[in-house]
This record gives sequence, structure tokens and C-alpha cells, in this order.
Amino acid sequence: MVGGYAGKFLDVDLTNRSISTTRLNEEEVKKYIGGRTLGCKFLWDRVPRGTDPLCPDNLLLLMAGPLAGIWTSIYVAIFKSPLTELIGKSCSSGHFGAEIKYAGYDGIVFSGKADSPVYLYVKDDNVELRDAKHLWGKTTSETIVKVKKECQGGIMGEKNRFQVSCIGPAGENRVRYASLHHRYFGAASRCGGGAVMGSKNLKAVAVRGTKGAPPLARQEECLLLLDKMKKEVMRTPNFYTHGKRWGMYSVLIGTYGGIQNLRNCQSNPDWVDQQSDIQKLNITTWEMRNHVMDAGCTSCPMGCGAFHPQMYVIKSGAYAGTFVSPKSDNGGSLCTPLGVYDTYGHLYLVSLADELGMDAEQLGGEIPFAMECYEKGILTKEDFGGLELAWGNVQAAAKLMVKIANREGIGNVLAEGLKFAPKIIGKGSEKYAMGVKGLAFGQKSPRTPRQGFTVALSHRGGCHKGPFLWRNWMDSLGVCYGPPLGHTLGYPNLVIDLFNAATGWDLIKTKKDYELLTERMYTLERAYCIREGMIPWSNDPMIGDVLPDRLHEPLSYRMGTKTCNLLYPKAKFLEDRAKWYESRGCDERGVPKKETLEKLDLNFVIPIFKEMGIWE
Amino acid sequence: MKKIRERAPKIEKSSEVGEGMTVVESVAAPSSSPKDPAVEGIACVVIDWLKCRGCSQCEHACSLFHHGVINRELSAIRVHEYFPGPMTFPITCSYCREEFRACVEACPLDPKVITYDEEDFVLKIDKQRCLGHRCARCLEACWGKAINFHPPDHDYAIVCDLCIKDGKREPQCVKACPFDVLTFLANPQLIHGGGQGLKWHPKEIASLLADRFLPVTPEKKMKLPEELGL
Repeated sequence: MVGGYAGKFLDVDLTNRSISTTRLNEEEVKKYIGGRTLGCKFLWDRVPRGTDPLCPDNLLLLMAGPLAGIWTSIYVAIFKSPLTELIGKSCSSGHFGAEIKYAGYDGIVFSGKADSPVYLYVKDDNVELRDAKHLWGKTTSETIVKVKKECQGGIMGEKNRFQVSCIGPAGENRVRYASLHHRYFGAASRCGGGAVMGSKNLKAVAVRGTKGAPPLARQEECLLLLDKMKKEVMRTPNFYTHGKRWGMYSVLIGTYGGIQNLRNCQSNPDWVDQQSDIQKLNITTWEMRNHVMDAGCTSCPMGCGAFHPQMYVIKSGAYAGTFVSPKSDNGGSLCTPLGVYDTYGHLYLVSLADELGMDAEQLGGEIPFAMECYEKGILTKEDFGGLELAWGNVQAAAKLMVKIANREGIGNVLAEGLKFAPKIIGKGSEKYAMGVKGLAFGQKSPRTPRQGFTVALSHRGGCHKGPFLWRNWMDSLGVCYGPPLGHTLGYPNLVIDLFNAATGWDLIKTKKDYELLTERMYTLERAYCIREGMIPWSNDPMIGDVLPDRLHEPLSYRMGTKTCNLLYPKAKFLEDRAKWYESRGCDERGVPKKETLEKLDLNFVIPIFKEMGIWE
Repeated sequence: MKKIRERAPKIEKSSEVGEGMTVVESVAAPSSSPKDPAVEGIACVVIDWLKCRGCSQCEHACSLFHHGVINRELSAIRVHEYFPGPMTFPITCSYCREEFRACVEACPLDPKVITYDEEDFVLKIDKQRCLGHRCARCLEACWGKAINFHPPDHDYAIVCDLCIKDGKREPQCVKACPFDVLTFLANPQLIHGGGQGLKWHPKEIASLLADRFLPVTPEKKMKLPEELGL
């Protein structure tokens, strides 16, 4: 198969320890492109309905789309999420996606469960499962360095750049929001891919490819396009300012815009006071003091390493010797949501989350939840094993994170995530769980119409990335959103042209083609979520397309000298939601209509929906 | 010394504005074009260790120019990756002066497979006769490990030839680098320690760069709360 695709998948059956390859089905690929959407189709076909996400029947797919390694490099981890029990999709940039591609695969499919800890070694066609008993219990950075050391060698020495994706102690203990880590920073963190990997006794995946990118159908055209895209990216001022916009500075921007999550999205009257507290986070100062080097991803001229993960080291003070790379998501989630205004303290928490292998954004919903329960007296000091979990207590938060990762005491409950933990705790704690479908908001308190709508309708849960079709499209291609190429505006854009030229299929000639394709991607994912138990019309934010009630409360914040008000009334939200459903070919309850499914060639969904009685 | 001065690029005229401020009339060359197009004589690609972000664009450009494919194994410039970090930096041939040119000396064949072209100032490889990765004495001898092999199809020493075509050198990696890491410079002797070339093993460069990360080391990214005594 020419044109961006390597043409085969690597199938790893961990139960029998057998390794095989499957040829890519061209028909299927033309319909679902690759990456995220093809992964979703795999889940639909191969994971039975209602499977427990942490049992061996679940699949873990590490997918590289057709353009990964040619233009930017993304790998998408797809699985049934243990956190939301819906679709689990999580992207990570870096070099891993490109390396899968260069090794000659479009993705790696893990099934079953190994009887003892293993890690997968892939060097082109040389694939083996290696013993990982000595790595079990190790933190992510230790694992990455150790695995790289074990794999690299031979005549080419350090030029053997093995790329490693691994889990930390949290993943091993199946914390429902454990993440897959690649490099010291950068993780496919959301939705709990690490827990799925841990449940399969798989500690790490080390990949190295020497085959290079697959041949492109119209190479000359592709090279011209790539050159054009590169110039386009480098010409935009964003090339240099992107880091400032999406780095930790977005905490400031969010706070002054009223959408930063302060103390578990509370709308207290002291919001304005807390807003001025943000100045205690000396972001400019620490950036100047602690910046060490920069890192980027394969085949990308942005060099942001997916949104500004410059490398920082805390050199002195109480937290000396901490490597940290805070982005808007992980950095912003562990400061103001916890009421932490200690610059180095919050950076330590970010680093700790990475080291233990947990999703920092989800922790930005879990720890504030625990803190609010403590404040309201639902959980006591004894419950926390003597930890005084008051707002802004960095030490207690750090210790709680270790407890969660090891599932000790109350950590065992909080490790279950926002969907299940409140049910175990009870006492009306459900209303303090700030998330949608089990996924926490992290940095943002989505009170503006745009934010609220985005977060509520996202398939994987309360994620700021939202339900937008172009995101499905980009994830399916294996292309990063970072480089500004106008892809947010849909057809036409350079990425589509590149896809056409690379595959040589010319699948997308008109706007209609693009819309049909992306619509199919969206609807397939939605159908999968409904099959697995999402009830869009439900009033419970943990299973439905709604926001927690707290986010419909009014909030006033100060912008400059003015005091502004934010309010997204529920009636307005429901109106917006109905409009969105209509434009996506869903009925008023949010279920895709039969005509839509037929139009999009998703006929295999219809019998399942009939069996579920969803249209009655 | 006189000759070197003649070769130095001319400085653009600048007009003074106010006190201590100058406005340079010409805009700096964009990074997609070679910094100094008229490089003559001994020259090489010079690397700025700190700026590299590991995007592999130089490797891709190199393999595209020489082989018409995107495959970094076929590239003469190679990005190395070390921890903590990842710290990434490219390594390519730095064209040592004759007395330090260990690769040529190490070649066991007669006549040598790897030779220095005194007219074009580039290294040339006899691909047919090269013994490949089983010999690899040039790689062993090279200070900077700037030689590659990609068996089985390309089992010969892959060394930077500065993208020479019809007697004109135009390194593609320099054109491709988005971060100004690479520069094509005449008289690298001035930069690379008196013509000794890269007298550092990449590991040594990495260990020097790793000092910036202290107290973080490859083994220890951070301390857990109990180690900090929280």
C-alpha cells in the first residue's frame, strides 16, 4: 500500500505472547482514514458491548495516522476508557508516532493480558516481548531511561533512538486516570490509558524504525506542500508566540477572563480576591530563572513539543532538583483549582503527577473534589490518614497523590475517578464532582457559552477539546493541532491537500466530501459512546451531555478596573445543545437518526441501536 | 589571515537612529536559506548545540536530497537524543584538518575508500568497494561518530558531502532547519578548536549539556515527597 500508510498493523496477543501482523483493509481505511476513527471502528468490532475496561478483553491501540512522521507526529492511544467507560482517546506528540510509522506499522494493537510484567521491543520486523519484572514499580522517568539503555546499542550506538512509551506506578495499580508517558514530559494522559496498559501487565513499549516514511503517492507535490506548510507556519507570529499563549501564561489569561478553575469551580463571593492572588504565581520570574532547553517533535517546524513544553529545572529551594514542563493543561490544573498559589510548590505537583504516571488534568478535578469534601466535612482528617487537606496545602496534596498512585487508604477510593468515587463516598458528594462523564475539567471552569458547550458535548468527557469535527479529522490523520494552518476552519486547507497528495486517492475533492467524512468520524464515535452506556439526554453529568449545576451559577470577576459577570443559563445551554444535535443529524435527545447513519454508511450501527431500543 | 578577512561577508550599512539604536537596513536572511551563500574554500556545517529541538527536518532533507526518500537512516546528519530531557542535537562531519582526519587514516583498503577531495573540499566515498558496517573502522576512529551505515541496502559509510552537485556545495540541512541550529560556514577551523573538528564524542557533548539540568540527572528526575521530607 503506497501513500502514507505503512500497510499493516502489529498485533500483540499478550495472553499467548504471540506476535503477528494484519494487513490494512483498504476499503476500511478509505472510510475511516486511520488513527482515532479507525481505532474506534476496531473497538466497535473487537471489544464486546459492556466489556469491563480493565479486563483482558479490552484492547489498547497505539495508532499512527497516515501523515504521522511526514507532517508532525502524533500517536493516538485508543481503548475503552476505565474512567468514563466510553471511548478512551488520548493523543501525544513527540517522536513515538513517527517511530511506529518508520518501523513499518500503522499501529500497535494489544490484546489479552500477560501473566507477568513485560515490555514490548520493536525494531522494524524484529519484535519481542521482554521481561519487565525489574521495571515494575519504577517511576516513568526511570523506566524510560532504563528501557532506552537496554534497547540502544550496537554499532550505531546512540543513533539508535528508541522511543519509549510507558506507565508509572499509578498505571500498574490501575488508577483509573493513569497515563502513558513518552519522554520526561508529554503523555497520552487523558481517559486512563495507563490503567488499561497496567491491567495488561505491559510496562512499556519501545519502538525504533529504520525503514523511513512509507513512499508517498505524489511525492513532488507532497514536498512542495510540505515546504509551503513550513513557510506558512514560520511566517505566522504564532510560531514564536504560541508558547506564551498556551504555556503557563494561559493561567493568567484564564483568570483574568474568568474561566480559570479556582477552587473546584466554586463561585464564591471571594472569587475576585482569589483572582488577585494569581499574581503570587510568578510565572515570568520562574520562566527566566529555570528555563533549560527546548524540545520539539518529529517533522514539525513549530518546535513547541505540542504546546510549549519547554524544559525547566527547579535549581534551589524546598523543591530543588525537580524537572518540570508545565503546559496550560497540566500546569494550570494543579495550581488554582487546588487553591495553590505557591509557584514552585505547584510545579512540584505537576512533576510528581508525571513521575507517578497520572493525568495531571484529572488530578486537577480529583484533589479539589477531595479538598471540597474535606471543607464541607464529608471527609475528615482521619479519612485522609492525618492529612490536612485544606485549600492550598501543597504538602498534603503531594502526599495524597502518592496515596492515590499506590491506592493506599482514601487513595484507593479517589483512584476510582470522578464517576465512581462519589458513589463510594456518598453523603451528597456527587455535586462536588466537577467533570462531565467522569472526566475532570482541569484548568478551565467552563462558564462561558463556548467553553461550557464544548466541554459538555465532548465524547470522551469534560474535555476542552470538544466535539468539533476538525479534531476528529486531525487525530485520524495523526497530525498535531499545534501548527497554525487554518485547519480549524475546515475545508479547504493545506493538511487536506497534503492528505490527497500523499495517498493519491483524492478522497476529498469538495467541501461536501470533507463534511461527509468528518461527519462519519463524529457519528461513529457518538454511536460507540451510546452503545457503551452514554445517555445524552440524562440530567446526570456523569452519563449525559450536561454540565454540573454549579457551572450554571452566575460569577463575577474583575477585568482591569471593571467587574464583569459570567452566566450561562441552563435554558440557553439546552437551546445550544439542541441546535448542535440538529446540525449533526441527531434527534432531540442526541441520538444519531437512522437516516444519518444510512447516509454516512454506518449501517452496522442500526441493528445494535434497534436491539438497545434506543429509538423508541 | 588576510585571505580569511577577504572572505568574510560584508557588513550591511546601518543608519544610526538616536543614541545607541541602530536600524539595520537589510533584514536578516530567513532561516530557510543558507546564511552565507557564497562560501568558498574549506567549509562545514556548524552546529549550535543549544537550539536543536529534535525535529528531524535536517535528516529528512538530507535523505531526500541524496536518495529521494524520507528516511533518517540514510542521512549523514543524525540527531542524537540523551537524557535528562530529552536533549537533542545533530551530529555531522565537521571536516577536520588533515592531521586529525582519522577516518581516512583508519580505512584498511588500498586505495582508500574514503578520500578527501582537495578541489571541492569534500569527503568522497567509493560506495562499491566499501566493506560496510562489518568493518566500520572509520566510524570507530571518528571523534564525533559522524559516520553512518544502513545495512543491508546502503552498507557503506554515509558521510556528509555538503550536498555537492556540479561542484557547488549547498547543504540542504541548513536550508531545512527551522531553528537556526545549523550554519554553513567557511573556515570552520576558527570555530571548531583549530581544525580538530569535533574532538568530542557525542556523549561528552551530552554530558556537558546535562550540567545545565543539574541537580536533575538522568537517573533522578525529581524527588518523591518522602525523600524531600514533606
